[in-house]
Amino acid sequence: MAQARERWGSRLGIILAVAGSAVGLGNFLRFPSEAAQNGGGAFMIPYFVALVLIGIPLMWAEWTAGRFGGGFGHSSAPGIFQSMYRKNRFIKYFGVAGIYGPFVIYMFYVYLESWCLAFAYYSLTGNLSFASPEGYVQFLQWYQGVDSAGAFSGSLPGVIFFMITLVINLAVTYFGIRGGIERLCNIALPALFIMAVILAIRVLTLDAPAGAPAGQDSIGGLGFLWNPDLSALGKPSVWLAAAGQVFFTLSVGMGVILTYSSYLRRSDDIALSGLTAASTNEFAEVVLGGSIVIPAAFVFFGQEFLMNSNNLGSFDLGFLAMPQIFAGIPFGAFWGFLWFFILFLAGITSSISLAQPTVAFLEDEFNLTRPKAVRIFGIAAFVLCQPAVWFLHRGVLDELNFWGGTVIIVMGAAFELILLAWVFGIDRAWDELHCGCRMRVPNIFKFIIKYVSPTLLIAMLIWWFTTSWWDVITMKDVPSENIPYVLGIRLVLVGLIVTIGIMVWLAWRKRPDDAPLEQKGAGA
Amino acid sequence: MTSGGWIFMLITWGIIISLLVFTYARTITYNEEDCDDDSST
Repeated sequence: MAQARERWGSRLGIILAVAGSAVGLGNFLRFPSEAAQNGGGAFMIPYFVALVLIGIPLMWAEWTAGRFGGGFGHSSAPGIFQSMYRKNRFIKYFGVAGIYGPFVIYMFYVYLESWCLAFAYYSLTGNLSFASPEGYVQFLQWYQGVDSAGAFSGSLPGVIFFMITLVINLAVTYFGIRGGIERLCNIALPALFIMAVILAIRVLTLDAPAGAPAGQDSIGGLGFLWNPDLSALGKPSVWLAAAGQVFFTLSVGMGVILTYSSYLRRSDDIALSGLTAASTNEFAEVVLGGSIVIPAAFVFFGQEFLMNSNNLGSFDLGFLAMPQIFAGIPFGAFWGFLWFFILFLAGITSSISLAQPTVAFLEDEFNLTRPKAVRIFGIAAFVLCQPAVWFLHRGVLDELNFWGGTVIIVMGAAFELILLAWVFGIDRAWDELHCGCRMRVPNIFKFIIKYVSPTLLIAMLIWWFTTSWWDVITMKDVPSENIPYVLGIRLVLVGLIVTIGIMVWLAWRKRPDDAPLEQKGAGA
Repeated sequence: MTSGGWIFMLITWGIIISLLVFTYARTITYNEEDCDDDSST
């Protein structure tokens, strides 16, 4: 750790990188579906409540903990947690979640991202245009290879695009924080926003197909999303859906913000930067995400289509409905390319952030050079992505998403907040948050971070425990033919978390106590 | 779209766009002021 730490090149650089991590496929696909199914405009009331009580406080907590840990030369959760509570040598093991969570998401996210790249390519080359809706379903099944009844799914084009996507991801990670991640996000995020605005304008000026009933236009589509159903506010499920959406959209709880903010200096602002990144994500999600998929599907397929909840699945809307819409308008190949390329950019700015906690862990705690750390990560990622590629139709993706993308990050977020507010101390954390700040955070957030957010997160966990966890653990809804595959991936996940735990043990085995970088003379 | 829909949409967009403009305006100002300070650390 004696070598000089990497740093962000500019304030805007880290803001765009954190925003890029948060702006993902879910902004354009998941949010509009969730809003439309949970009260329309009324959904925004619990959404904003959850944003203020869970999302924003957690985001500030992570920026604070990450920058603090970075001052001790740590950029991943084990080291950051240990630097926050140095009296307890077991605390670092809780940080395993901050490496495990993003890695497990990476195991399927890169594959999904590669679909976007592939569909952008097929749109541009005119191969994504069929006479009937069945043609689109068959094309998707052919691409995924799930039309075969055999043990394996996967197809040659699917594997090729996956490899291309993985190599691009690893190349960006290889070039480091400033030369890779920051440079990509500085270009990709503004490009994504410009393209999304252009596409949203095109969608909002779409003409309904001939013979469509009156009112089946883009304004009607916006109405489908925004007309409030205030009775939905009385349903707990709507509030939980809003909390879940806010939680997952901001990339909190998974260790990514911890890692990114660790490359800041103590004199750098985090209060304003965090809020700026969050507002960028909200603009992408609510304003842009809400103006593309649902209005387009409403204009072309009508209200009846969207009222069928099966058709509101975010995946079906994005990969099956949208190509049909673009095939029916002038320059459809271009618009289709634009749509899937926007998704690809949203995906890659997220996936590179998922890789960074592991790479930083190898660099910081094992003194590896970045090229070596990226090579090790790349080999592990390539191997562990294979189940998602080859056993997609066997429930593997849902399993990875549940354990990596849901359980571990909610638990990790609850732990982070308790560690920061109760162990590290809310007063100390508050001072740390405001060190170098360009914006005072309202004092009410001190109360929210200490009491309200942890309580809500624990309540969410208890609710999940009591309503759905047992069914998931006992694989109640898993078809019997998929049980061996689901069990197999669970074994892989157990092996992964044990491996990371052993690596944490090895890294700290003969290590003297940490001291702040300023004292080591390596903080410049 | 009903008037309720318009109200919810415009208020939501207004809040988010205002927050976006406010935060970026302050961030960009900060960057300009902080250039010298950054290079000296």
